[in-house]
Amino acid sequence: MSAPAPEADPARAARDQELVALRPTLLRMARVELGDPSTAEDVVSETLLVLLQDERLARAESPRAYAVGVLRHKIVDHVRRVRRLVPLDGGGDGDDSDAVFERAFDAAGHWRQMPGAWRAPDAHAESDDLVRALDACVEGLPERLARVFLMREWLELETDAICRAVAVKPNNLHQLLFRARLRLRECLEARGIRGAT
Amino acid sequence: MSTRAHSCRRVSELSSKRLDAPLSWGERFAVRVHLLYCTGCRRFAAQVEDLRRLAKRLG
Repeated sequence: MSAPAPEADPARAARDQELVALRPTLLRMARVELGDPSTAEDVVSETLLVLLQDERLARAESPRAYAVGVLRHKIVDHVRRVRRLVPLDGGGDGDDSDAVFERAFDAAGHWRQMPGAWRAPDAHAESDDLVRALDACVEGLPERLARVFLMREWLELETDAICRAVAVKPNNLHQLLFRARLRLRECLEARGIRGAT
Repeated sequence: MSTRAHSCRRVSELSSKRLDAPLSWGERFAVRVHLLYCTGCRRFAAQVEDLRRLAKRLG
C-alpha cells in the first residue's frame, strides 16, 4: 500500500500525458455525436476523469482504443438519457441530398461507375490506412450524415434510439444512412482504396 | 417504385437498409435475384459491410 505519489511515478506521468494528447480526438467524436460543444466538453472531461483513475488503462493493449471505448459508453449513456440531441445543419434535411445519387447512378438507376472490389479490411495489410482514410472521409461528410453514421456504426446504437435522438422517422434514417454510406464509399475510392479487381 | 426489375439504386438502398432493419420477404427476394447478375451491387453490398467493420475502429 505504499504507492508512490503520482508525481514520483514516471510511468503514470507518461500515461497522463498520453491522455491529454488524446483529448482533441475524444472531443471531436463527442462534438459530432452530441452537437452541443459544452455537453461534449463535459462528457470528455468525465471520460478523462474516469480514465485517470482506471488501472486497466495501463494494461490495455491499445490505451487509445481503451479510452475511446470509455468515451463511447459515456456518449451512449448520454444519448439514451436525453430526449433529443441538439439538431445539426440547422435541423433541415440539409446539404446536397440528391447530388450523391446523381453522381452514383444514371437516370435509369444504374451505377455510373462500377463500385470497386475492396479486399476484406480485416485481411488488409494497410488496414490502419483504411481506418485513417475513413476517418478523413467521415470528417468530410455533412455533420448530420456523419452523426447518424457514427451513431449507428461507431456507437452501435439501435435505430430507434437514433430516430429518437435526432428526431427522424425510420424511413428517413434509412435514407440518411444510405446517403452517408454512398458518400463514404465514393470518398474512399476517390482516395484510391480500390483493392484488386 | 417500379415493378420492373429493381434498379441498382433501389437494390443498393436495400443493401444499406438491411444493416439497420429487417427487410420484408419481397425485398429480400428482389435483392437476392438482382445480386445474382449485378457485380456492382454485389460489391456495394460488400462495401457497406466493410464500412461497418472499419467504423468500429475509428477514434
